Amino acid sequence: MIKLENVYKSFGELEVLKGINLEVQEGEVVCVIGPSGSGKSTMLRCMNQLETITSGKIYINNSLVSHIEDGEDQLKLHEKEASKLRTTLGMVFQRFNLFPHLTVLENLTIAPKMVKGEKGTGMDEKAISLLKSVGLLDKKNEYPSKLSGGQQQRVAIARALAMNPSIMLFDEPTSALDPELVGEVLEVMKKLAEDGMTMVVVTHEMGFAREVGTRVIFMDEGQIVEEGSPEEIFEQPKMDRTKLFLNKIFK
Amino acid sequence: MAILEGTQRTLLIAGVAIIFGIILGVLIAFFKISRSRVLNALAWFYVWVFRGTPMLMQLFVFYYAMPLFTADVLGITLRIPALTAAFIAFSLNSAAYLSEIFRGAIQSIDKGQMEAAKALGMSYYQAMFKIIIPQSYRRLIPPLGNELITLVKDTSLVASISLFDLLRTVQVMNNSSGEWVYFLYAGAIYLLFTSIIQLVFDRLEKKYSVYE
Repeated sequence: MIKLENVYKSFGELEVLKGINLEVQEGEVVCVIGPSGSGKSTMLRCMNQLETITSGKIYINNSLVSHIEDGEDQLKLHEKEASKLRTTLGMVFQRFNLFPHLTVLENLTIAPKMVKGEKGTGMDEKAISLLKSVGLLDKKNEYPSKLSGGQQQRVAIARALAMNPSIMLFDEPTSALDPELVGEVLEVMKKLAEDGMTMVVVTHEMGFAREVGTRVIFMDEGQIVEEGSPEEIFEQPKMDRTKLFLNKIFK
Repeated sequence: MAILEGTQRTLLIAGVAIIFGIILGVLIAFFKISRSRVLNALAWFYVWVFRGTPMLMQLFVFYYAMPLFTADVLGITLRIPALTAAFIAFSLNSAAYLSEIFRGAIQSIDKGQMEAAKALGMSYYQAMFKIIIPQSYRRLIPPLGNELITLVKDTSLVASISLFDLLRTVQVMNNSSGEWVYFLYAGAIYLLFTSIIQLVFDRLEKKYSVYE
């Protein structure tokens, strides 16, 4: 569903991604781990064009999305095409990024309304059932500032799902949460994975990666150092850098 | 009642300036945050000129200098009435200040908001008008109130192009009668209007803070 071919990304002089090759199949839950600054988040942001890659190719559902090829030339994706592409990918951010001036319910309905032209009771019912599934129906008329971090993140997940994405991207979804609130968010994500959603999760939650991940990717210094099943990565890592990282984490 | 007439003129100039100042100020703010270099430069130049020169000089330019300038360059004497000159100068001047207020309020909104809107498939303009700008209202209310209060007081500069606003009116009354009390009236009237503005903007601020 997602394919990255030799993707490079630099911010000025700083090279953040150095030749990433990755393919994500339908129904997979790919957990991306690694030290901070290793390019995990940047890779995720490149997938839905929040960042433009420097070179390489990104395919979503077999269509090239990182740029348009015109003979020898590579053209930048038109804003409209980028927007359309993004609706197939749901994104959950580390800092929730809920819209503070809208109620919880409005947070869920604004994008379907504006982007897909949905309206009326059908849209509201879908939003309400999504809120129910993340356990926050009673908060539907509250503003986000009245919610705890964990609740806000659950709303953010529901908001992304309201666009019916075929793939969900999670950018360190629990890193900004107080420890006691991490569980409720992971629980929602786990349920989503069990329902068969294709997910790419950048995370520091090794327990989640081990339990829910179908594949674990270890990144360091802009490269994928090692990938495999959770057992392979956590029980028998092959590369020294992976071992070093895991030792630090589980010390 | 000369004082009443003067007060009306003061309010008229401030009112016209704030309305056209807001319209033009919004436009310039959009030029500033636009991705077009040309529009950025235009907006920068505009603010540079109107914020960087004295308000009084801008009044002089539109009233005294423009007829002479057009006579020299175009060969026709383009003279505009003093009140129109005041409308133009104050509108253009407040637009410069207001554009900075609008730009600041829009750019103070967390970048994550635009990213989240885009990630949900919204276009730049949809995100701007439904997500970013509505959140900026709350932040531009206090400086907007300030600017309006300053504007009401600054209108007293129009005396220099022979317009009888509130202050000029009481000054003449004082001259001819020798009574100081007229200045007290003028002060009270200015205070009345600036207090009303303050009250209204305090209310607005509360109203737009419900979600915080």
